[in-house]
Amino acid sequence: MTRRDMGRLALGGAALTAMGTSARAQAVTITVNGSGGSLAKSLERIYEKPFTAETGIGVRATAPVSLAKLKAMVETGNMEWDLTEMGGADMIEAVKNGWLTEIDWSIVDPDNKLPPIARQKYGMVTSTFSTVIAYRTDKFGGKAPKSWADFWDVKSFPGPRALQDSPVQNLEFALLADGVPADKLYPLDVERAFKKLDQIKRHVAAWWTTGAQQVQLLVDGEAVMGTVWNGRVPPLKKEGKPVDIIWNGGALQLSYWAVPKGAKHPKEAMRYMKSRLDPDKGVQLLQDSPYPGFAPGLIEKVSPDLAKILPIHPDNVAVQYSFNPEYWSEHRPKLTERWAAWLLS
Amino acid sequence: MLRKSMVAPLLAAPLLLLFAIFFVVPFIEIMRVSFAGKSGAWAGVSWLMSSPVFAVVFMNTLKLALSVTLICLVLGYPAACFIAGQPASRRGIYLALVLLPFWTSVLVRTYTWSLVLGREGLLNASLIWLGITSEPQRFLFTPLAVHLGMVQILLPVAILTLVGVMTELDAGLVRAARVLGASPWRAFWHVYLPMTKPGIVAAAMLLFILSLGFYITPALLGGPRHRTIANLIDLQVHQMNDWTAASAMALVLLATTIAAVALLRWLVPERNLYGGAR
Repeated sequence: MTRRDMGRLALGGAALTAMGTSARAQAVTITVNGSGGSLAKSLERIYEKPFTAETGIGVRATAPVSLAKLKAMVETGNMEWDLTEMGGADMIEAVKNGWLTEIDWSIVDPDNKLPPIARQKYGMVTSTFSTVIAYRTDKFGGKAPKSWADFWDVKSFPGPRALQDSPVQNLEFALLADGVPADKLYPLDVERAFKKLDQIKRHVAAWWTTGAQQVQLLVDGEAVMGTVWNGRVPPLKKEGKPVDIIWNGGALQLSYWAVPKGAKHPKEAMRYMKSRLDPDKGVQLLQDSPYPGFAPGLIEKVSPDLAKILPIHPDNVAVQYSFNPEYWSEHRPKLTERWAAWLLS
Repeated sequence: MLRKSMVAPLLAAPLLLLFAIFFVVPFIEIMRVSFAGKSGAWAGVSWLMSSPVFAVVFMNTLKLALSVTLICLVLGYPAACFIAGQPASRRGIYLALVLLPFWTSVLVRTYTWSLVLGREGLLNASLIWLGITSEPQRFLFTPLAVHLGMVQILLPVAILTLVGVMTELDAGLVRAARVLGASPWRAFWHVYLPMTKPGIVAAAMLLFILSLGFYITPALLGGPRHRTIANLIDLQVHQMNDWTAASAMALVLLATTIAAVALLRWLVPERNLYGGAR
């Protein structure tokens, strides 16, 4: 390389840098952290692109949802996210530790249209979902399991099972299988739950940790019955895979959007949150992912066929239990350790 | 003008800098976190002492690392002997065959094992087709799967380390033993094997240290019932939210590694473990 080339390179570099800074001065890009996968593609098409077109604010999506990452970023003062998805127990933990920014509801929901359950001090409920039993429809000779008791019944429904590698919800499922009524679950009878889990342990071939694994285990035949998030199964059914879910005994949960403490563009993030209130966009999202939120007017726009596969359909709500994140926020560390020890024994 | 004595430190500077930024600084941070828990400086240590999980997982990890090391040495030694015995022109081809899997991503190789070992995988399909079993057997998520995966990943390390030492040996000594009337077995046992000892020790050390920190293979092929220390650290960080305990475990892992290195250096003090058998 000659000296003249070097000079040209340096000039070019300077020009590039200048362009970069001017572009940045004009437009803000917010970083939105979510659970990734196919849902991320739907969010990009339905919410992110139109939002950027309308406001000029760019949206960059990252994954996965992780309380540990949030903690690390808050504590090191290096916040990458402007908005993050969060589960119920994580939400409580994050609020308790002061890792979140208060929502300015005058930006997100100025007309006060959201129901109170969705309007919380540090987060907005964006969706509802359920952890349910999924099973292979081709493995039980036409019979279909109907409950957690059937999940435990390896004589009538033989074959390996799959459960999450976590005590969260599995203790509830064990108690439901043991005959505890859904409204009498909390506070959990931990001893009774682990005793019941002892019965199923050697039939559980795999302990999943991610959503992708849940369905992979069923499709590969590694398990004939296992727990999944309700939205993972409809796409498989569409592909003709022999799987179905049971709502009975499902764990109905809320999922949040929250602005982390130290977020660089909290105002822009909250403007983006507002777009989640649009019922037409909500219906579009439901076509891809049956996790409805509380956007006003959303349910009225849903077709009856789609409504049936939503966790908040009245028939489905009636048979599920309502997951208690407060209980788990308090007891998760201790019970997770006991769970890990139990798995090793 | 550079003086000669300055060249070596200057050449080492980038590496030292890298080491300082990406190892020493995080290490100090881990030290700090493990003694700065919410419940006092010794919270991490007292967790290590009292936790029913840590003791079991730690012993399991040691056992796993030991058995993987032994299996790799037993399988790798004859292969290395064979390769070292080839003429230099052909040795390259054999080494390439060893290096090819070595250069393939650990993740890819681990996933491939889960396809082979699964209930509806290659192995079960073959066994059923051959009539050896009628029902699919459980291979995946067992200690067997973890061992297979780790041995396959680490075997090239064993072979390459051993070949390095074996090709440096004076083959004339073995020939001399044979000429003087030793049987092939005796020549091997009394002449060849002792000469390769530094290679065996170096390979054992590398394999043991690498096995201690294995994360993805035990997680994917073994599952939570076959957790290693690395998996338990992950569980502490992500599920139990206890970074003090996680950092304390990381320190234990480091201490175990240092102890293993010290033990092996003590076993073969007369040789340079890193430079082969010169």
